Amino acid sequence: MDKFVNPFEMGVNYEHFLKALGAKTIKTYCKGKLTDEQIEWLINDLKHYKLNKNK
Amino acid sequence: MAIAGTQLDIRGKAIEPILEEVLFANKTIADGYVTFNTDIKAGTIFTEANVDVTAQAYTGSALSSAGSMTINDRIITPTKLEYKQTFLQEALRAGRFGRSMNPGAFNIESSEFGSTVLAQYAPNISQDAENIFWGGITSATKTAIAALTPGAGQLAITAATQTAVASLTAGLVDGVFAKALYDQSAVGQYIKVTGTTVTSANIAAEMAKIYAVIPPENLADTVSPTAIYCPRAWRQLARIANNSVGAAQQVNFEFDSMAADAKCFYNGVEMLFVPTPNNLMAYAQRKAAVSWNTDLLDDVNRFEVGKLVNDGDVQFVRTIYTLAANVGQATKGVLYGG
Repeated sequence: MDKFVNPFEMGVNYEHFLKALGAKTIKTYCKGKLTDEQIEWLINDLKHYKLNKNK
Repeated sequence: MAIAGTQLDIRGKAIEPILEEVLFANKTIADGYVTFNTDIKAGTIFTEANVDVTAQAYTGSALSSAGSMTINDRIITPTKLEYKQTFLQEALRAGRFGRSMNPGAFNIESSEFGSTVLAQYAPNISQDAENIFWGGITSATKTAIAALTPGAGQLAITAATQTAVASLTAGLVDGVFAKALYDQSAVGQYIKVTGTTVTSANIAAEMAKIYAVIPPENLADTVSPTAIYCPRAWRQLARIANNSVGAAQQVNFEFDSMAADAKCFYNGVEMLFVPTPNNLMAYAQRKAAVSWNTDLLDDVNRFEVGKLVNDGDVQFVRTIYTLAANVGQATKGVLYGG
C-alpha cells in the first residue's frame, strides 16, 4: 500500500498531494488519516487551488 | 483637480457645522501599536542575531565547538510617497464659503474652507498611511505570491490566501501582512494557522488556535509583549461573542471598559484592531518585531498649502512622507489565514 501523503505536513505541497491522490476523492483518501474538520478545510482550499491554477 | 460636488449659491443662512467625514484615528501611531524607527533617510541596516548553545559532556580535554551564532542583516529603504491635489477657490465664491472671504476681488481664500475641508487632509493621509502600513502590497509581491505552489502545511501559503491576495489592489509599499506572507524573495517563515471565515460564533475557537501556537517565550516577554493584530471588524465579533442573545454570559474576551474603543484581551494577550488587508488574516507577534520605519513620524500629519504659480490663483495641497514596514523574527510570528 502506498504511503499516505499528509498535506498538512511541512514540505508537502498540493502538487505532491494531488499526485498521491490520483483518481480517489479527498474524502476517501484522507478518511481516518485527517480529522473531518481538516478534510472539509482541505476540500475548500483545493477548490481555490484549482481555480487559481486555471486562471 | 477642481473642487467637485454640489454647491448652491448662498441665499440666507447656512447651517454652521459642516458634516465632516468620520475617519479612523491612526492608533498604530497614537497608541504605539508597533515599534517606530525614525530618522531613516534611505538604506538602513537592520540586524537579527541568534545564538544556539549546545551542552557537551566535560572531558577535561579540548572540545570541538558546538552551537552556532547567526547574524542576518537586511537593508530597509523607506518608500517616499506624495499626495497632491490642486484646487481653485474661485469655485467657492458664490456659495457658503464666500462669506469667509476677505473683501476685494483678489481675495478668494475662504477661512471656513481651510478650517473644515482642507483640515480633513491630514487625518485622511494619516489614515491612509496606516492602511498602507498594515495592508499595502506591491504588484511585484502579488505576482510572486501568485507564483508560489500552495500547500496546507507549514512554510507553504494556502490556496485561499493566494486567492485573497490576488484580489487586493496593488500599491506602492508592502505592508506588515504582505511582509509576513512573503519576504526576502521567499514565502514567509511564519507559524501558520489555517483560517476560515471568522464569525461571532467561531472567533473564540479561532483565537484559541492562534494563542495555542504563539511561542511560549514570546508570551513570557513582558518588555515587548505579544499582540494579536486583528481586522477591525473582529472587535464587534468579540463583543458579540461575549454577549450572545439568549446564551449564558460568556467571557471569551476581556475588555477593559464598556467604551467602544476599550482595550481587548484574549487570555491576557492584547488584540489590536488594525486595517488588515482583508477580514481573513491576523498576525500575532511581539511589538518589538513589527516596525514602522520612516524619516519623521509626524510627516503624515503635516500638509502644505500654497499657490501653484504667483500669477494665478490655483492652489495645491500636498503631503510627503516615507514608509517601510518591517517584520523581524518572522519565525516567531503566528499568521492566521496564512
